[in-house]
Amino acid sequence: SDAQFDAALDLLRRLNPTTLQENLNNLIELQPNLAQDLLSSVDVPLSTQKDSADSNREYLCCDYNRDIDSFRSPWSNTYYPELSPKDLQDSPFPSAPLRKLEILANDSFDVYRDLYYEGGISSVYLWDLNEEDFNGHDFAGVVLFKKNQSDHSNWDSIHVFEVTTSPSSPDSFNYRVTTTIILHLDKTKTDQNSHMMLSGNLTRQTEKDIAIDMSRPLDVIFTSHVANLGSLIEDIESQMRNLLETVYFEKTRDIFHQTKNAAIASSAEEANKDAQAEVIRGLQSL
Amino acid sequence: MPSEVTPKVPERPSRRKTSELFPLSGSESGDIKANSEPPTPAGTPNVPTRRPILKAKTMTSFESGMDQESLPKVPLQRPVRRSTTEELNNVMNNTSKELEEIESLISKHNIHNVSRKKSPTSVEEGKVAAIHQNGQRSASDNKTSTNPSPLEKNEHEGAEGNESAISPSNLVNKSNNEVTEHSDSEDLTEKQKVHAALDNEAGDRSHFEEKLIPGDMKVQVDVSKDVEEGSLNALPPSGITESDDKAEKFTKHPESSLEELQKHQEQQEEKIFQNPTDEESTTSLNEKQEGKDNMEVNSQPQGPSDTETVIAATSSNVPSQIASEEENDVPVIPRSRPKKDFEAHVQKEELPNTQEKRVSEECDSTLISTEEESKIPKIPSERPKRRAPPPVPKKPSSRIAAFQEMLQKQQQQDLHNNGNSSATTASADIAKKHTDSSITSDTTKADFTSKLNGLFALPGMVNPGQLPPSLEKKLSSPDTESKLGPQDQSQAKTGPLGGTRRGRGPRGRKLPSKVASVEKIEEDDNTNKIEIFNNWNVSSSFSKEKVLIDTTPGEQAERALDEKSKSIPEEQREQSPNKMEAALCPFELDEKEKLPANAESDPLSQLPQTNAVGNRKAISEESLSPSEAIANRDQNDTTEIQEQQMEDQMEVDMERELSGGYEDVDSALHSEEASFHSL
Repeated sequence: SDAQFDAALDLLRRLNPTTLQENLNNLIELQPNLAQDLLSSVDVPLSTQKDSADSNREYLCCDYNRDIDSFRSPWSNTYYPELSPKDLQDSPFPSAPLRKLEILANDSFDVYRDLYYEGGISSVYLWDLNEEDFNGHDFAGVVLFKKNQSDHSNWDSIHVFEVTTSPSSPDSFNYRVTTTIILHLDKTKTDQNSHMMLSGNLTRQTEKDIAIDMSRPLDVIFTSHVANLGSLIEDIESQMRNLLETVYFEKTRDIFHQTKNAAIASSAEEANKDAQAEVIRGLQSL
Repeated sequence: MPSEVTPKVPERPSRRKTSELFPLSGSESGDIKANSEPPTPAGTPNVPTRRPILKAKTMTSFESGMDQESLPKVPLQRPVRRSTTEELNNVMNNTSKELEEIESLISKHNIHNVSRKKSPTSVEEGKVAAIHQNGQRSASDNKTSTNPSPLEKNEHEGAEGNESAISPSNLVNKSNNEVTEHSDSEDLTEKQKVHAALDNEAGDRSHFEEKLIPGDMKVQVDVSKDVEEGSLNALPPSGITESDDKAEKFTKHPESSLEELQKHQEQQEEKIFQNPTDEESTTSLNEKQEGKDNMEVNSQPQGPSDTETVIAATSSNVPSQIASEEENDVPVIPRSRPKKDFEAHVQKEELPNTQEKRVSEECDSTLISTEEESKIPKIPSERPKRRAPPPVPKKPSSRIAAFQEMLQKQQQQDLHNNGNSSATTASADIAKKHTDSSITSDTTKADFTSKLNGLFALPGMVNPGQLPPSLEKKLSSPDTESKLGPQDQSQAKTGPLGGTRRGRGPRGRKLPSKVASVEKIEEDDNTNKIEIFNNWNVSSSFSKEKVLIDTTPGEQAERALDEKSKSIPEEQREQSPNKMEAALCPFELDEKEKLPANAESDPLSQLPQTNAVGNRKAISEESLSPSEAIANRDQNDTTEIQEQQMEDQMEVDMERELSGGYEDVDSALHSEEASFHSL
């Protein structure tokens, strides 16, 4: 039910992010009927696999390119590990035109990844929202970025988007992007006492209506979609990175300093509080 | 001492020289004075320039159209005025035209101005009269030379000459005073004569003044010349003016008296030069006279004796004269500067001269009375023009208030904008939540935070869901905008996940094997239900045959229960069912477990069993508790015995049936099976 689903999400939000996968599995065991929703809603750190068909090129794995225990490669459009023919018949694949768009998007975002991340891995997966043939709209997808600085520290960006026809105007498309950034920083355990770990995720949803001339050929429409998505994701990523830097890290830094220098800063803090109270009192009296 | 005295003597001619320079330099003393005035201390140079104007005013007001020269620029004319008296008259005439025009203009505005223009003459006359009276009353008449009254300016024109000439005249006075101090009765008579003559002349002066004032300058200069030269010759009657009170004594006297005075002076000088021994006395007398002069001069604003003091006195008098001139000269000035004129009056009153004060007070009282009447109505018409342009500086408190208003306006605008634009975003919701909570918690706090919109980083101000403006600009990518047009683009709304969930993945996916294998085990309810039903009976059989024949097993059980119930006391009977039930629960469960297996069989077939068990129970319960009875049931051999008995009985019954009831073997066998099953 929805209440159970919400409760599970609340629980996962409050549990240790480093053990997110374990907690998710536990919740699924508790309530197996929520498995599908939880797996598609909860973002876990991305894993990688290699596409043997494409020179063992790595691709990112998430729930959106998974079927059973296999993950579809965006490069060769095949599931690895390979599925049985019976399972493969039911496995989801994008339609042919959408696969063209997926290839274009993968190439484009690979360039983006190279420019912005200077490394890492990117993958784009698309799927149809309509069971009918793809007509240039009403599709969804996910853009994944991952970069490992070390074995323990990584940055995972998961942009799940939906492109639908805008209800307001038929020529414009509504891009709704749900972005999750999972950041995990783990200092190497050179010294047992100095081990420090910082992990968390940040999820935001962005919505934007952009008009596209549908009278143009499909390739042009694809390009427009990719360009719109690219600019949108570019802005969102930079914004969220700024948020992380300016808000969360700064706050963490304050806490860190306050904790470390608690004894020293206690007296100064009291003085500051008094001064601040005086200032606020003075301002209130204005 | 004589050596000290001797240098003083040559100083006198030096004084005379300085004073004589003006008259000796040229016949036109007015030019020289005008030229010589600039080196005098500041303030003096303007004095002579305006006097003729004043005279011109007064004169031209009565003497109209003297000259026809038109000089457009006044400042150019001013030196010309002083060059000659004729030019001065010309200038006066020219100014009279202007003044007439001004008068006409002023008369339109105010009638009082006309009287104001005319009044000075009368005032001047009054002043002159007062001056002469003062001059007649005391020997300090010289003070009147500094009177600021307009007519006395003539004196000061001469006074600059005269006062420069005062020193020689004072010398003469000194000599005269010396003579008088040495108790010459004749001098007294002469003085009385002179005063009488002055009185006579004063009466005539009023007649002369108006007509002869232009020529007064010459006459005065001539007089000063005469006095300075020490000639003190008889003066032409026309040259006698009211101006020089000092000189009047010498110049305006009848010729005889003047000659006598000159004789006295000459005699004294001769005495001085002839008797150097008497120099001390003379010097002492001179010093006395100088002291008198000093007294006289001290009555004037500045210090003792000499031309410097006189010049200083004139210079000190100049402002008052100017002020008086300003009052009377140009009627335009009071229009533009009513306050300054009034201040000029105040300055005039502040002057040290007491007589001046008397005269000026008399004059000013009239002037002020007339001026105030004329000025007061003008002031309100002009004041707003002056006061309007300078903006009133705002107080800091008003600035703070303005600042607060600005903040409130900004806040309202922000609220409107947020309410209109980003109401759907979660960021706005968060902000609203913040505001709502603050409003509910503390309204003053809310006001305070609202006033500090953007000033300080307050908790909750960092709105993670809201894009910074720079990013908002970036979000509207220029490429797409240029392609698609701005009207089709709506701003991206970013915020944390609200009610809308993100899209699910592709359809047809299967769960991972690990997750798919998970089966949810629904545990049975742990609720234990206790059901009570009578599925057994307790009966006591008196005889086997009788029981078997007469009664059915059910009837036997009922009988047994009845008997038991009779045997059990009523109190125990009420409690016994629970005890029995509790004790029999395990048995009941055992029975239930057996029941499904025997469910298909005839329920009636179970009755003998139950009856047998019940019989056993009933027997045991008589002496034992139910639990003990059950325990005994399992342990005792009686049950086996009873079972054996039952079997035997059954066999007997079977044989009886076989023998009697059944004809065929098959039927008998069948009946045996049925009976067996019934067991």
